[in-house]
Amino acid sequence: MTSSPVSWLDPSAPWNEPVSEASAAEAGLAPSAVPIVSVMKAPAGIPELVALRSGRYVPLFGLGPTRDEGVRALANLAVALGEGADVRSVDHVLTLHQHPALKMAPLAHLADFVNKDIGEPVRAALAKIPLAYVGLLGASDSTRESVARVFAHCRPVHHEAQLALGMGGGDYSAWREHYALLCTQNDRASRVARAWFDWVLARRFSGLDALRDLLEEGELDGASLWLAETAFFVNGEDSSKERLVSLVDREMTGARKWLPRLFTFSARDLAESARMPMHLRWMHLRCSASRDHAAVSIRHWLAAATAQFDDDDGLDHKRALGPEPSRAGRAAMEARNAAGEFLLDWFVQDRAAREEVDAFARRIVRLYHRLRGALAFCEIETALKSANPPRSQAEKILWSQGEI
Amino acid sequence: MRHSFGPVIGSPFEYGVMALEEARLTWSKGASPGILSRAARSFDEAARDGDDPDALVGAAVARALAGDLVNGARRLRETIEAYPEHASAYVALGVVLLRESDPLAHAQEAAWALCAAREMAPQVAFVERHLATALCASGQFMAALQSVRAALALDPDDVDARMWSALLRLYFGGDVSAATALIELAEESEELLRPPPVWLGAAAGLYAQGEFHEARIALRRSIAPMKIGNDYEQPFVDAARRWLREVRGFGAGVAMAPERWLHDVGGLQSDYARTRAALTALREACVREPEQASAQGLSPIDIEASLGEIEARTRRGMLDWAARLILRGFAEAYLPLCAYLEPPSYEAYAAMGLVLLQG
Repeated sequence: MTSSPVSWLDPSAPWNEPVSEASAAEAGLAPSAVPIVSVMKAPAGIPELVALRSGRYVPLFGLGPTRDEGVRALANLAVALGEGADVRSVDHVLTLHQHPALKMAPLAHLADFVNKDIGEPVRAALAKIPLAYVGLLGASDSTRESVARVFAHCRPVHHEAQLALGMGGGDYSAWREHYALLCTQNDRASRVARAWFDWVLARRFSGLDALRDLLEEGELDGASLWLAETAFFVNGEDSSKERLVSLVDREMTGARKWLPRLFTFSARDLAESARMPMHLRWMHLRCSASRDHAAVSIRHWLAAATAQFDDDDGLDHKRALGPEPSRAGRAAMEARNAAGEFLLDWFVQDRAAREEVDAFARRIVRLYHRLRGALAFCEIETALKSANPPRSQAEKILWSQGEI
Repeated sequence: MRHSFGPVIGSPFEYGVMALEEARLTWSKGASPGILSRAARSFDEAARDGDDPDALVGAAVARALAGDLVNGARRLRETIEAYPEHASAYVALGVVLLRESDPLAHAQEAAWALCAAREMAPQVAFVERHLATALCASGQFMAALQSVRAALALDPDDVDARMWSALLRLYFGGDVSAATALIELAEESEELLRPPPVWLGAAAGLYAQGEFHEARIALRRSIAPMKIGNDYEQPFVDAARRWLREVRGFGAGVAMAPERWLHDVGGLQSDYARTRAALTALREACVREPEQASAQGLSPIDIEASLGEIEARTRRGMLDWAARLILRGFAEAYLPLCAYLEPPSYEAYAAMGLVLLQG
């Protein structure tokens, strides 16, 4: 695999810019004492924090789409979610996903590079790294989506990027818009996510039925299986809680060696989500009860009325009646259309119940992306592992525990 | 205002009223050619003679009855602007607008005009009844019910008011007994030699009772005067057929009757039915495990309240939407049919200030 030349390294990379006297002095440091961060330390010291704030760090794939850069990304993840990590490590490492001077240019470069030869396994593995990176670190919707947008047309990770874009919405209560995006995809993971949205957030029982059908259709990936299980948990099904825990345990086992703190974060989210199943069920049903069921029924009824083409009214007037409704019927439909799908299916008047279900959904979505990230991490690690003994600092972090 | 249709005195106004009366007596799917233009010319002349709002109203009504509803309504609006305290102009505007081929489009304005007329001239059965019709066509069913009750209090034998009252009770109030009243009213109207559109009300009643064959016969009777293959009359027929088709889409029986309820909300697989079933199951779980439920902030009483609320809200919503569709649809089909087959009554001319009724 040969990397293509990287334009921003010539003549000098932006992270080589010296820190201003004032910034360094504020932290009680000399400018020369501020390092260029390539692999983050945990816990981070003041010089590293000043470096992060001043842009003296190498962003994700900042040195080009190479195996070494992929290994460095994994090493940073291992630092953020490793044994020695402190509470802020995740935030610090997440900062590295882009550089203020380059924005998404390194990742866009990576996407182009991968698209040129999608058959090469290492390239495909490199393309998976940015999405796994933001997913594992529990990035916000906007951060995850900004990364996913870069890879939306990168063929090896197209579906994964679409999932990263569509499976969200909790940060700005934009569930419906994200659902609309999921509706444009037809791969199995997206269908599971869509059915989950249907059931948990739009409170349509058809979503629950669709999830059951998808499970019967065949094997799902671990994260999708877990997501479907959370829907059954909301439905109050027996032993669902135990299955949720065992699925997380099973799917994260592969990454446990490098990312032990991932379990801590996941366990916390899972405990928060599953601690009061009856209460959650009650809140979800309250949301469902507050839906405008009359309007939904009338909509079906109007559709049934206008669908009756065989006009058997026994009249001598034989001219067939067109399918168009009466003016009154049209007005009723238009009123429903004006209310729109949002008011009928997504808007919940019962605010207290809606907030609890939304909070649950936000935690589940975050955990879902962590799970996907954990599964991807194991695949990437296998693809990037070399038979040679570890040489660089990043390789040592990943494959020589205790040496660093 | 003139006393009845007495001997011709010779003023243009009397000529106008006489022409209107002639049109009314010879009405057959409209007035005979020339009569209404004569009436309009006479009223125009009367209006030129002096400051007579009744003549202006007469001129506008004659034009509207001749088919020029747009100009008729415009003249009435101008009359209202010039004589804002003249109740008969408001009545005439309400009546004319409800005779439009698309009454739903003008129902709001008609209701406004008739409301204003009622303010100025309260306790007039004709105004109350027409106001109820206009309110019903504009979808304000509770106000329509109040108006129709006021009309019946003033004239308990008023067949039209009884029909609208029964329709509102049946499809807005969910009162099953009103279906029988609708059927009986059609028979009673026939004895009073009323034109056949009133059988459309009987079709509503019969369909609600599940008598589908009879409902079709009633529909056929309501449009019996329409000639087969007459393109001009086809829209009247189609409107009535379309209305019945939409009632059929809703299924037989009264909107909220228990045996229909499940069908109406979409059956056992609907979100409503499944939400209810899930809430019931959760309530039972709370009763089985009271300590766990209490620890998680649940009580069977809260769930029971939620069950009651979802049912009440959905029923109310269904009634409202059913009424909006069926009652407005009825007005859409029925009012143009009536306007085509029946001229305004004496009572209408009296309310418009053109004649005085004896007694």
